[in-house]
Amino acid sequence: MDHKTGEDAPPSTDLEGWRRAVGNGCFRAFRMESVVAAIQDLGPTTDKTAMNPLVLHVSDTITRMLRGMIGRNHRNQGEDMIARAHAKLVTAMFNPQSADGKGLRVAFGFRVAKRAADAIRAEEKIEKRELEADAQDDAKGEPATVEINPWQEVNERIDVERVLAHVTDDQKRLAFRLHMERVPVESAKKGSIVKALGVSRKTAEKWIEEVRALLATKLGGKT
Amino acid sequence: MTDQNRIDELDEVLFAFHRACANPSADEIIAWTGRYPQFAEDIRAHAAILKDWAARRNLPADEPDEIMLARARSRALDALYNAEVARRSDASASPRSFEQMMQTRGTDLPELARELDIARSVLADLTSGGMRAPVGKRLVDSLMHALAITEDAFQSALQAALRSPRLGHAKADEAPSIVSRSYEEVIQDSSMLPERKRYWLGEN
Repeated sequence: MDHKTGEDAPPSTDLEGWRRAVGNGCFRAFRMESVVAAIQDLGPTTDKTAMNPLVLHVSDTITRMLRGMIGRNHRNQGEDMIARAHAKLVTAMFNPQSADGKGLRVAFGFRVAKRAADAIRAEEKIEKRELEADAQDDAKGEPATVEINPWQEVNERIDVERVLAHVTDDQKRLAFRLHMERVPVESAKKGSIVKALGVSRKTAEKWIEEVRALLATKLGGKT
Repeated sequence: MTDQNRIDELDEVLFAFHRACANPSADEIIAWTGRYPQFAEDIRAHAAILKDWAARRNLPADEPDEIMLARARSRALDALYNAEVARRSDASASPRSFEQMMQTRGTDLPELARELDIARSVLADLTSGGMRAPVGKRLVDSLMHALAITEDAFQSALQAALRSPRLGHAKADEAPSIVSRSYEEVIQDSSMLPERKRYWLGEN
């Protein structure tokens, strides 16, 4: 998640240094934390020929990261979520005292990721409520349970990920992913799915089975 | 704990969790939910999302199209414009003082003096309008770095301090007076060791 640098950035308050870096384009190789520090310390009233390219560079980087992290499985392909998270981050960048303003300066990638996760979580809550409402209208059509072995039979990861992206309950996905990593459902001696999720064995097994059944239904024909 | 405090603490905990666990294991989830039981549900939700990303890490990344990038750039320039308007309206009210700059960085005069290894009296003279311009380059550079300010901001704060110097206590038989001294005089009259005085009077 660290953003690499090809060379050292000028001190964040060195306007001349940043003018040069923008002039020769080398600012694109600097750590994003250094670019945010310069934007904050030079301040919004500084020379626009230096400031605007830095701001646009940060904007593009945040947008690319958010698009990579927020899937198209959400409403409107996740574009509204990306727009909201991006707006929150770029606005906060100009407020060095805000949590995002500080976070972008010390750990840029992690801060963007944290906001992306916040956006996904908020959206999943809405999607889950909508699904539950739909399910009440149409309680039939339970997916057929087909016995599959995820490790042997589902070998197309990209297909698996596409199906898992539609499991809106993050706890079910987490249970299934830990199951895929061969974490025991319950164990007195080591970390288990029951302990990690804080649920009963019965619930954990039910969740894992639900996701297995969904994968079998969606990918059964391909495997 | 107020709601806002709880939100702030949750934000800090989750940010730290993201930094510590790129692909959280069962043991890590157990450790973090054990340490912050009040945020267990949020930690598990973020763990699920982190594991989704970890699973997709080596798959082809989705790229934004030009329209999405252009809209985002427009939002970013709007945010810059709004920040500029706000800053100019703050600046026209009054330039930021050295005290405000220290407060913004979460420091104060004694702490800053320790950080720079300079006599407290030097900074006290500077911030109270007792030091005439020009200020030595080494001190200006050090303060720009420590307070994360530009040279323009430093000069504005210096001029503001000189315009409104703080008076010392008046003696019974004398009117209070403002005695400003040059940078060299302030350094020489301080209690610093000769070696530190030479350093602060040096050029590079």
